[in-house]
Amino acid sequence: MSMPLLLLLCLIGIIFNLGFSGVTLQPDWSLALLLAALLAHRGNWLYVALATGVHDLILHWSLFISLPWILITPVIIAWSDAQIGASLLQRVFAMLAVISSLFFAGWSLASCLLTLLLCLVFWHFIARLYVQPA
Amino acid sequence: MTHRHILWRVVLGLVVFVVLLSFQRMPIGQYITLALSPLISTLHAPSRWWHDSELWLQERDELQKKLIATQNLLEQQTALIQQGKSLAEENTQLRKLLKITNIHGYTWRAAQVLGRSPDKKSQRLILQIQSNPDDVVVSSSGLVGLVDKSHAESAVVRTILDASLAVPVTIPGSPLAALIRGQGDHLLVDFIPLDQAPAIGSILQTSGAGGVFPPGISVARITHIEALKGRIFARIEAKPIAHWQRDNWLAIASRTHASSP
Repeated sequence: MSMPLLLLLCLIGIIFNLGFSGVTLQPDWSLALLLAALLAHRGNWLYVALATGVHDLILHWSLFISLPWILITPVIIAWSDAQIGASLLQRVFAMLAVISSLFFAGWSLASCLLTLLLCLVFWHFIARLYVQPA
Repeated sequence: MTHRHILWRVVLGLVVFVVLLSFQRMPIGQYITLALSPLISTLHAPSRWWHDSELWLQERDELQKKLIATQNLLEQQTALIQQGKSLAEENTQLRKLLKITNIHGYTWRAAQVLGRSPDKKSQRLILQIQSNPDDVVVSSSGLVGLVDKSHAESAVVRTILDASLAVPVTIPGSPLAALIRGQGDHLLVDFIPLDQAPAIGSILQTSGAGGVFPPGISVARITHIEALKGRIFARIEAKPIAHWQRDNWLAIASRTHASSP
């Protein structure tokens, strides 16, 4: 997935979050997308981390909401892949850990669950972009 | 070579950490939020167009009926305003007689809520209004917070749930003087000794101390009082009176420079 497109979609997601959070229940669009890009290919960590920093700054006025978890995630995935082999298990745990940071930042449980579901969908589609033909 | 490589990485890590900390201290989030406000306004445009087109398509007769009803209402309100003015005049005279200071020096304006932070309590708001930093934001029921940054037609508001805000409060008619601080999802009332603690359910109002908040605005309702062993002051929790999570309009009080004592 191209970086500019991902960043543009994230920005739109952030604007949706700011514009309609008082009107309707919604997921964290941008974090779901960024986390999915990271889980699909951990080499994306650099721009995912930068975009998460911007996300945290705009929505929470702090850099210590989701960014630390996003920075730790590729390290944990790389380490656990080396220890127990590449599998979905550690990625799912990493996803739960990152999304739980939203809950501790004051998001409702329903919004966190929506973010989780959205992230799964995005992860599925972004991962298909990285699939190598046999 | 490997040691040098590791050293460089450590230095780079430290530099990144320092940059992150300095970002944390600067109000960058507020500036980005302000910069995004025209985009949020654009996003709201379809709903505004829909509303405008609904008005356009309404029947003429219905509009005429509404106009007549509005004119009647306006006449009634004009009479009420006249009555209010004479009462205010009378009130000022009475206050002078009683030597009570009146709330002077604030201009009140209404502002539309353009956006809000997505946390459960909406700790930050974006208002569509030209204002100054430290203008006081109030809902129909109580104090909301302070304008943090403003630019052109937008202002970013920090609500009283934010830990960086402290509001001097009192209970009218009592010598109580306390400070309310935000805790994210509730408020903490500081500096009240246990024996002087007001009852649960009491409403705290701004005392006007410090000169930032006008006196007499309802701030919070006490929900929990707890004695802490070995401490003079009790742990008192409170909930904000104002519900700004879904309000579309809020009022802003700007301090006028030519305020009279």
